[in-house]
Amino acid sequence: MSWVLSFLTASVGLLLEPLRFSFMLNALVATVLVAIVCAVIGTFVVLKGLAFIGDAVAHASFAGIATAYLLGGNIYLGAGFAAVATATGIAFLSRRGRVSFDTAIGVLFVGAFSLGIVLMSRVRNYAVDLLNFVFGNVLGVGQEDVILVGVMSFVVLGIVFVLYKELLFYAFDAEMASVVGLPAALLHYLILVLLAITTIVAMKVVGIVLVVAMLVTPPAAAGLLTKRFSRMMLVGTFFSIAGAVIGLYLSYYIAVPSGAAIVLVDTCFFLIALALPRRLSLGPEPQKAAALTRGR
Amino acid sequence: MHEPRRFSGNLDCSDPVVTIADRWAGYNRRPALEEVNFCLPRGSLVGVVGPNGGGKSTFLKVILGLVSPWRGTVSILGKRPREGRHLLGYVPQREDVDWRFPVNALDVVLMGTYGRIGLVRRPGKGEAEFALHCLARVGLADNARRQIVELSGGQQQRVFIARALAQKPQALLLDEPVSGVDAVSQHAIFELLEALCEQGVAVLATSHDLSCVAGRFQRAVCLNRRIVAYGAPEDVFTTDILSETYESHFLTVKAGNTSYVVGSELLNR
Repeated sequence: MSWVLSFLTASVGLLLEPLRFSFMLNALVATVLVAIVCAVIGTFVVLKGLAFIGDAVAHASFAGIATAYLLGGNIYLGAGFAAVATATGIAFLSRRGRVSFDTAIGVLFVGAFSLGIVLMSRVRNYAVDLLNFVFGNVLGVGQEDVILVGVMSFVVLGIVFVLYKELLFYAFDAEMASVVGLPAALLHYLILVLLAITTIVAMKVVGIVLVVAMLVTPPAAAGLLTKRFSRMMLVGTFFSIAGAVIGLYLSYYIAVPSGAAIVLVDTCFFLIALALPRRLSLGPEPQKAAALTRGR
Repeated sequence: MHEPRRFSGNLDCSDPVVTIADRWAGYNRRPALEEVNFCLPRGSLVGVVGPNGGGKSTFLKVILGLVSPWRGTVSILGKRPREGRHLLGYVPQREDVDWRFPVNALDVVLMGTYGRIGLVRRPGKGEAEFALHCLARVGLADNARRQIVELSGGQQQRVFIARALAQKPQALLLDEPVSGVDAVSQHAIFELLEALCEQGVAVLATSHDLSCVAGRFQRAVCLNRRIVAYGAPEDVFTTDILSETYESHFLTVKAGNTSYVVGSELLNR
């Protein structure tokens, strides 16, 4: 019996040990919040096929960060402005349909990212700062960052909670949503603006390059195991939180970058979900799935 | 001598649910519909036929206000499309639906009630019961909890009809409702549509299957950008009209009350 007790004390000790440091406590709170918001918005991203836009918005926001940096303004404000501008720009282009959608995104996002790099190169601590934004630096999350992440998460989750039925209908069938009388155009922009805010919130934790994985991977894993939208969102959130916590502890104990560690844990969840027998993973049967892809 | 004005549809019918007057619409400056005049009487079962790319889907979408028009008017019980379209049930083409979306049959039918519930509020017990009732009407009460991807093609189509019913519609617009659906389901769907007509719901459905329209529908619209003819199938499915509609040669064979259509598009190519 005594070895069980000592094992438990040891594991609790291992779990609590990093939290002696306030920076680790801040990091844990911020990461878990980000994980929740990413999974909730990511469910829409996965189902609507918005992964590429999410990536684009994150990259494009870098131009805003660099501008804010140069002008000495608030970085979040700069990033937020650039992200929302890109998201609505893409939404506008996609509703007009004059340019091929992927092409428009490709042009916009790499262009804005390059602008960010050029602007950033004029700053003194260029290399360090660039790395922090591109790959994230969760250990640099301060008290005020936690508060900001908390407020933004609350706003995004609140909007999704209030407009849940409208967003679900829009995501499933946009045309019918507008026929029934829902404000489809507004919902179209809203989803992309929420996506933009989410990428900004996540950026400090996982960085521009890895944001898309936090958005897509946990809901995609959940999608393999669930049949209903609400459950996909819940299970995805669970995966996302678990991935965030495990990843953060891994990064503390084996000294690896936290963003990459979190994403790798998420990837493991996805691979496990994929490998589960089809009986458990309640997705479509392969033959039916093939017919569907042919139809679309 | 004056040139006879070419036919462009007609507007005279009693008790119309939908009226279209001189409607033009298109994509990227290319017209998909020209000078369309049409009315859909209450309780009628109307089929829309025409070649691929002849504007069948656009015809429905114009009524639903999903395609912005170039000119002309659409009125749904005297209202403009944006104000009146919640009175129209719509069943989209199978290819336009994301069947892998994680929702079950009941979730889909519940969506039909969302417009009535209003923003922000959640569907309650009353809505759920009504949705179940709609599913029962299409014979799918036992499949309420099944994910839509697990249903057969005919069942999927009926789930969408149930969603349209949940809107309490005055008219039902269906885009190729029986394509890719087995014969038994096809029959079940038509029995359902006929029952709805008897209750005063107007039904407008596109189809590429002429003999199906000839056998099952009260009226037929022959559409190739403009309305070539509109009337009872036995009157409009003539060799001349069909050749004009499909821009190719057609033979119609009449046996008793049923007309059979033999297409020979190859002859013309």
